[in-house]
Amino acid sequence: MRFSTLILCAIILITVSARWIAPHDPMMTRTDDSLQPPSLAYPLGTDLLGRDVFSRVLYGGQRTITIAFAAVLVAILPSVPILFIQQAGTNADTLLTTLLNVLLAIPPLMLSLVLITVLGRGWWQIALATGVAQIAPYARVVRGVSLQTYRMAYVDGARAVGGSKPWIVTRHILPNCLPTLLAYAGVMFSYAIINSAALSFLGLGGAPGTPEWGAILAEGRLVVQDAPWVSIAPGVLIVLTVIAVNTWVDQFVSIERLQ
Amino acid sequence: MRLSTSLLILLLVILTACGEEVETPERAINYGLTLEPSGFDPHINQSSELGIIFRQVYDTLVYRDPTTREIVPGLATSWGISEDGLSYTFTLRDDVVFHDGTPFNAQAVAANLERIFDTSDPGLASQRSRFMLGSFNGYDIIDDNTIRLRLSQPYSPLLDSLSQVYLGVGSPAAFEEYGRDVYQFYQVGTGPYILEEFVPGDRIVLRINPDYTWGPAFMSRPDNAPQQITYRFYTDPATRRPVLEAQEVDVIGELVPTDARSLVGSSDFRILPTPVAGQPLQFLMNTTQYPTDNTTFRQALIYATSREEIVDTVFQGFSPVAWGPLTANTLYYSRDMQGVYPHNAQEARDLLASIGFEDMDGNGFLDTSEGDLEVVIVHASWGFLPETVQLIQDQWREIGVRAVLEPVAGFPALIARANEGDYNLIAFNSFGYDPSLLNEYFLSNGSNNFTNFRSPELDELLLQATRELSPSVRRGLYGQIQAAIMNQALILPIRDYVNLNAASSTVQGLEFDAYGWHPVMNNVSILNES
Amino acid sequence: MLRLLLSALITVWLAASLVFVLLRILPGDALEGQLLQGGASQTRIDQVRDELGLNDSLSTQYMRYMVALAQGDLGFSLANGRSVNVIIGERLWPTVRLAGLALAVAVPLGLACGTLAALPTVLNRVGQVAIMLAISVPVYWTGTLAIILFAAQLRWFPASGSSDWRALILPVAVLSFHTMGEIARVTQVNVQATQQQFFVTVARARGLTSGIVQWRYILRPALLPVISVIALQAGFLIGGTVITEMLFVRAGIGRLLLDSTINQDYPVVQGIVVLSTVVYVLVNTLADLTYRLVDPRMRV
Repeated sequence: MRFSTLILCAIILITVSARWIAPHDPMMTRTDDSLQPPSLAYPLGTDLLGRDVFSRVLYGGQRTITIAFAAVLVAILPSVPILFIQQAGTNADTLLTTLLNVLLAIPPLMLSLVLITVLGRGWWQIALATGVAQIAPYARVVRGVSLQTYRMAYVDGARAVGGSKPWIVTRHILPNCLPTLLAYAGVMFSYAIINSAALSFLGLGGAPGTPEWGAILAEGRLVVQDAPWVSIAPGVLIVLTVIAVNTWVDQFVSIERLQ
Repeated sequence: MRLSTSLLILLLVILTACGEEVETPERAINYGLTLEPSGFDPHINQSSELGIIFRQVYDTLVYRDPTTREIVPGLATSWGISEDGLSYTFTLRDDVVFHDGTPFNAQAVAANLERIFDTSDPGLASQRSRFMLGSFNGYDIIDDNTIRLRLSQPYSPLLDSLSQVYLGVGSPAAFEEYGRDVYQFYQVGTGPYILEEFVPGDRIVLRINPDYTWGPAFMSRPDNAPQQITYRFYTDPATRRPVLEAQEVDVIGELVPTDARSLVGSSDFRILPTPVAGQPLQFLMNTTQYPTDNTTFRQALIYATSREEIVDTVFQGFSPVAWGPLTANTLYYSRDMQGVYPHNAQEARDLLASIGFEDMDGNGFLDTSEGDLEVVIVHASWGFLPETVQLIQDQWREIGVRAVLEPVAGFPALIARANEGDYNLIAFNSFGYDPSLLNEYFLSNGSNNFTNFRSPELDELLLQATRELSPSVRRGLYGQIQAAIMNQALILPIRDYVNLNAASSTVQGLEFDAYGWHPVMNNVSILNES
Repeated sequence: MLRLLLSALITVWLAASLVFVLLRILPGDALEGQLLQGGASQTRIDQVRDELGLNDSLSTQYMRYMVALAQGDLGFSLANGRSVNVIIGERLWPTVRLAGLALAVAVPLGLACGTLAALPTVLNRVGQVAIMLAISVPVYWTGTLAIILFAAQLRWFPASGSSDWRALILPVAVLSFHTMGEIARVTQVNVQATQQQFFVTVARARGLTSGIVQWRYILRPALLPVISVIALQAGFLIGGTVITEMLFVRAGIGRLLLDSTINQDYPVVQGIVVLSTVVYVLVNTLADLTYRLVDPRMRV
């Protein structure tokens, strides 16, 4: 577990410091050096337009991680008011559950595709589409965990003491749900990375050429038999990040079952 | 648990076993297409892709010889054009039979014309077939083997139109039997191949027409011609080379240029780069939007673009640079276009300085009242446009122009963007052999006039060139038209379209028609593979 | 029972409405695209849209759509005028086959792998690594590599086609690999969690042998939530086939969805979403019922 924390920190550190570490401008094309294998000048080789893969992957990490973060935020934030609504009474709760079920019933990729059609292509659109598609699954987990916590003895005690519902939620329920919620947020983070890679692959990403792991992976696909190095770097990084995140959140999986 | 496991296994067996086993005859070809159009009826839909298949199923009144580029007899043995150019009389063959056994005659041709102009349908019909008939306004059936087409005005592209699959002749009996919506799945023509099976989304299968003896002179069916052709759609460019190498297709089009480059020396495959006639890969420049509303500015942009770099890197040298509004193998392409606006970054900078642009804040980009000088480029994701615009972006950085790339997801989104009008450059083009295809783009009221350039002089030239029947006069007119378009710098041409076809070495005799997209399958033979 | 049915119907109706509204926010559609490509003028396009009722107010179109939907009619494609029911019908079976087989392979493998990864056995690590890979590599990557390696280089399996069973091997393998990962992950977590539960310690203290403890007290309760995960995956799979069908050139709903979305052919997109919603609701209701039958504690 500590190893995964190390890897995660390393990845984040490296991508944040892209500006200082990257040997080349990630956007600068130099067509004389098209599709060069890794060398001293280009540690991970070059792509079709002669751009340094290493620099692109560094800057790309910034964008990928930011998008995934944004998507997770979009997915998580509605859960907070949802928790409160749940405590407000059965009618509001039923309405909410129905709405969530509707969102859940539409497969996530479909929902993302439909949203992208509406919003147009682009990076923040991908973040939004990915995040919105995950609101319902996350809310469902939150609901399950909060219901379990609610049934616990000490909450009864809090109510007996005369605590108001919102107070109970913030003081008792939220803190106890937190580990599971965090774990699931981690899972969603890795899902967001893969999903935005998929949307980039389907041609729905932002302006061409902007570095982003999924986009670089998609570009690399077209030349994979002649220049596999273009795809290896972003591919390995995606896998590493996802594995690291998933392992890191494992430590928060407690006795609560994930429904 | 045991119950559910056995249920699962049962499910597995049932699902696998339920499949259709297909019998393949001895000489069969698998042909890979690259785009799946939403419809395949040549009189209704207008994708070039459908022609790859259905060019084999239909004959046309005339053909264009792939080698000489001349119009030669097809279903019509001869034709006469009246003095005033308003009536064309065709003498038809009398030995032709449709695939369903019904005879081909003048009445059949008439039925096809009726179908194309049928307005009873709320027109999910494309306009292309109608459009290609130009000023057509009626026909007369003289006798069973003679038909006359009447025009309201002289229309020189008529014979060219009549040589294309969109004016192919289908069986009236089949039209009757199947109705407008369903006909595309049961198409009946007179061509060298018969439509055997059409499974939407999956495949189209043609089988050889053994009775075909009335083909044009350039068609000669060899002994080991393919008896069956199966078409499938490989829309993902990255899988085209693997399926060719896996021998799942014998022919495939539009290989990724780097893949084609790698396969060039191979003994198992042949790369057949085929130039496509029509407009090149190009950007139309919006003359009503700042800063491309200034002619000098537009000229500077062309000078700043190194088409050679794009052609060498993105297209691996398989395409020639495009200099004007027509590709080099289009009818009446003007050689004067060669070398117009050669790459010259300094020239570009000088031009920009001459109209008053300077970089005062020293950030590398020229200044305007609202910040850096920006040019918005709208493009789709096909045709290697993303790679092309990235290179353009970098090339224009050198002269201080910031290119803002705005990709769109699909064709409707592209059109919507075009209609909104707030772009400087938009990537759009059409294919065709007769240069009258320029009309849609450069007439003041053309449906694709995305440059928003309106000039009565240019209109007159274009319309006259469509009315004029004499080839030499037309050539002169189109020379003037191409020069006018480039003088005004209305477009940024990048490269002539070259379809990178690849075929297994067992496929011999594969050649493409004058338009570039459509293969002539009747001349193909398959070597025996041991 | 009636409540369940009602709730299911409402879910489908709401989902259809949501997508209907969303898709109409953006201007332009497949019909315009088709007509413009063929050279139609703007007046002609407007005329056609009028005739097809596309220029009516949103509420009118919505009512018309709902009435048709209630009768099972999904409308007509804007790109080629064919009935959406027919278009989807043509491509449904290949997708069902692909998704069904993938699920049939992924479920037992996923359960096995997840359990393996959770129990303190020798193959523990292997299981964990496999799961990690399965959920972290994007599908289009595994697919591309599979095509290049197994089809182009080794020529073991075909990379495309829908007509014979051999063409199913690679796409099913790729799809089930990833689905297995999801199922295995949840299984692993649940088995691990159950292991730590109090009543397991009690059982061990009572001296029951390891085997019985493992089966009765750990695995059986742990596997219950997996039923709902499997139900969830069934819904996901319809979306998951999008990329697989594109890569392996198979006819199917996934590819149809992608093409219609990009071409803004709204009736087809709506039709597919409605279909998936119905499938999801069906599967989940079934899962709910199964759950209640299997878990004695759930009996209300």
